[in-house]
Amino acid sequence: MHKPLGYFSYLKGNKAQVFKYNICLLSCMVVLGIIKILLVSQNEELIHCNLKYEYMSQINFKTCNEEIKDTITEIAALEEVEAIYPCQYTITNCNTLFAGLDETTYLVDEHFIKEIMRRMDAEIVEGQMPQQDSGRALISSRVKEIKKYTDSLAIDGNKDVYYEGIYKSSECINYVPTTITDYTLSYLILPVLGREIQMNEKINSIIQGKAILSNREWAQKENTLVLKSVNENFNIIMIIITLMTALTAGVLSYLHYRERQGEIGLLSTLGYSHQWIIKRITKEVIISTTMAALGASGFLGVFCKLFNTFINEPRGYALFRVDTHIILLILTIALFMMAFSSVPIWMMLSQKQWIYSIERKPL
Amino acid sequence: MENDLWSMGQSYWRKKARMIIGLLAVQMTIIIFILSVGCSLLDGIVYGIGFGHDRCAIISPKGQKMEEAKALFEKHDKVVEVMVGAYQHVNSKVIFSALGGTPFIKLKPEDLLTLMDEYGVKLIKGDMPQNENEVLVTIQGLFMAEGEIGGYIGEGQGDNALGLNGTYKVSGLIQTDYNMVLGRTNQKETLFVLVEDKIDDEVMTFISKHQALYERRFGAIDVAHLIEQIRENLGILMTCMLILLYIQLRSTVGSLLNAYLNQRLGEIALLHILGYSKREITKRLMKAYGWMIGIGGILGILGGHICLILFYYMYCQTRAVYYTLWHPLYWIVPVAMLSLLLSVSLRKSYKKLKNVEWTDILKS
Amino acid sequence: MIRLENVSLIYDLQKEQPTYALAQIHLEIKPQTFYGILGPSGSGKSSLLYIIGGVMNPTTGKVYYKGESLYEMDEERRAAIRLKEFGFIFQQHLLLPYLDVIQNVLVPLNTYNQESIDRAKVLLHQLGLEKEIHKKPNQLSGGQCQRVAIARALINNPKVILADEMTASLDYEAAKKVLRLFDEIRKEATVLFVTHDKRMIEHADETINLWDGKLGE
Repeated sequence: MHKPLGYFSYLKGNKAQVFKYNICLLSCMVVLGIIKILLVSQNEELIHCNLKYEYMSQINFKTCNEEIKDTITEIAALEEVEAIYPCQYTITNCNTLFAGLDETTYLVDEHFIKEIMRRMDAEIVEGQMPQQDSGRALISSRVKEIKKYTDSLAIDGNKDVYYEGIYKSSECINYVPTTITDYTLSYLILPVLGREIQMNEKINSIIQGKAILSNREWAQKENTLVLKSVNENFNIIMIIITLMTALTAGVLSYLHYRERQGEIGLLSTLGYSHQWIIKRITKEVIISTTMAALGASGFLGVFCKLFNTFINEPRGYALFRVDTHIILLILTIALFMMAFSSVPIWMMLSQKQWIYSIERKPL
Repeated sequence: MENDLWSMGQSYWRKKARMIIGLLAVQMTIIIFILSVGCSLLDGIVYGIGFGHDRCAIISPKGQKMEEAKALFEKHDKVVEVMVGAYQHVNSKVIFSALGGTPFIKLKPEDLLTLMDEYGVKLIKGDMPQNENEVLVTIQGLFMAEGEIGGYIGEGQGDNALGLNGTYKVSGLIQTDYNMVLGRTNQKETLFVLVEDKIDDEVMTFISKHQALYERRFGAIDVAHLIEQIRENLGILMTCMLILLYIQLRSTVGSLLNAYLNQRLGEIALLHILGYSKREITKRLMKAYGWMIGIGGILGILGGHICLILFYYMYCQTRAVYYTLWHPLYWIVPVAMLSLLLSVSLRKSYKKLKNVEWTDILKS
Repeated sequence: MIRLENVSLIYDLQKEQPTYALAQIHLEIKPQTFYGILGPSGSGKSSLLYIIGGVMNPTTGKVYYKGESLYEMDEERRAAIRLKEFGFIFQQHLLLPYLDVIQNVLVPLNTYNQESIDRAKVLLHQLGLEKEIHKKPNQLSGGQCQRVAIARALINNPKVILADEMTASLDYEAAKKVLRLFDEIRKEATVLFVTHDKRMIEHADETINLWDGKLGE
């Protein structure tokens, strides 16, 4: 048995209304939480895409002409440059859970491949390094995992080119050891360790608009732009969902407390002050919202666990997790909903002389 | 008896119905706006990067291999045209973000005309480019670059939001299904391999087989897959959002309708005992519901479309953002939601009135 | 104990002909006295009760409780006096539908300790409701609900009891039990009740007659 005017007595007698309110808030928090979890996971995927620029830089010339030879010679002579390799590459789309990743296949000399794997501390976990010019590829374990269910491990859509080895990596990069003798439009540059920034600065001043240098700074800037755009779009969607839910929660609360005007009038007449009554109502809203927030956190935890176990891990997708971002999001939504639900009630209650709500009106 | 007692109460209840109508109108407006954002995003992405997404492969052959590659690709019986020119990416604006991947295609004059013909690109103002420094842009491109016909756009010219490398004079405006910038050139850097219908696995494999001839390839199947995936994901997101919005609509307006009915139960019970039949009362109440949802819905749909127009002219046009001002979904979805709301509310109310004991209501 | 000075309650003040629910009432309420308030319907009986109880602000005039002006003190203090020293019994029972009988009785105390439960049980026994303790209001008849409301009004041992037609829905036996209970209470509390019931009027020490918002003979 509980205090007559305590929360549990109220809950026992108003289960349907509390349930409706909680479900409304819980569904909003869960939906927004899932969107945020997906965003965070996509952010990580995007960052992974450009991880290769931690170990190398790439130049892409715009036109193939004699100038390239001189430029490359000048770059190769820099003391910050360890080695420079001509390459060809193709980029295809690798489907992950909700978006695509770039899967890059580099055709480049095997010395480069061995060196880059040494720098990345990656090892071959299955098969072996293909022979130079055999047309076979060394693919990353990530590509293998993602494509496990699509039965399409051919390189670049060409079903005649297959892999011969798999190396452990979270990136989607494949290598085909190939001898490239002609001057090409693309080159991979290995910096002297610790001198990447100086190397990139010098290369930028040499190429000056003749080519595009893809390096760590460029990759970070690209990531920031893309992530900013993606996050902004989803933030707008989340704001809209929050506002609509707040409207719903506000209306449900308002209706519920309008129905309880008689009770409020009675308590006021019996001798409970306006402040006490408003405090009680606020307490009810806070407890209900807290229950919804805890429920949403629990649900999101279970969602992440299930998705990771059955889909993400087996397929090599980025894992979902409930971190501080998600908790903060839930807290923010909860506070916003509390305010939105309470304000109309306070306004409604402050206007009346409460005796009129019980005169000739049953509860 | 037939009209007086019921109609006497109507003006009193009309005031009570204002909240229902108002809330319904506001929510419908928001729903239509969200729909428009979703459709615009979807259409905008296709508009921005959709050129050639399933018809044209863009290939950068190695310097000396240009002619060899052209001759080889032309041989394939599914290939309609292989054009030679230059290519770069520029930007398009979709709602709340910008896209890269919009084509800036430079071709010989005759090839330019062929491309325009193949893709249904119409020159709506100005002239075809006469030299390599002149370009054709879409209205959106012109707004983005803050240019005018006869004026200069690109690097160092006002706003280079288009992302052009270099300065160009705008010779004309084009109308097209996909955003693009067109120019003329005698450069031989890029091949445009155009097929009649769609680039399939067979063509793709053929192109990939001759990798030795080229440096880079883009467009075609990759973009097609990307667009397909984006459509799918956005489609799922939109569907989930619409379901959520409907549930919220049902919760708010449905609860208000329920409260409205509860408030009127005493009156209805009295009327019934005085001589109105249950059927008659139910019919009149249903009419009241129909009016409330109808008026609220119409106001909401009108309000939503007015919002779209205002948003288009005040935001999208001034920022050169692609926006779908008209789409059948902007009518179909709201009407469907309103119909569903009305039928569910009517059913619930009808059930309540059927099972109620009028004397119990009067006693309480 | 309670003094009303020139109290009026006027509605529609801005209109040409405002409505006087109460007009210039001067009244002195003595302690431990049983007052019956009589008058035709619409004469302002319930309004007078609410004004005395500190629930409804009069348009003009002052109400004094134990020498202090009731409507000049702050709302918190007035509410606290109402909670501790006044008991209200309404025309409709106004029980909270989601609480059972004993919880409804304990609403003014907002507690659930053994002492208060025992006190509530005693009251309910005196009113003949000992078997109905854990029932909800929708499981009781109108008369039983009214008796629960009476028990609620008496749970905090009020000094002033304000009752509005409390025996209207009670049968003869139930009304007798209520009167017996009030006979004990009147030794310690002031009772003001609005009634048309002859049995209640016979028990009253004094009567207050209201006619068209004014005190009459």
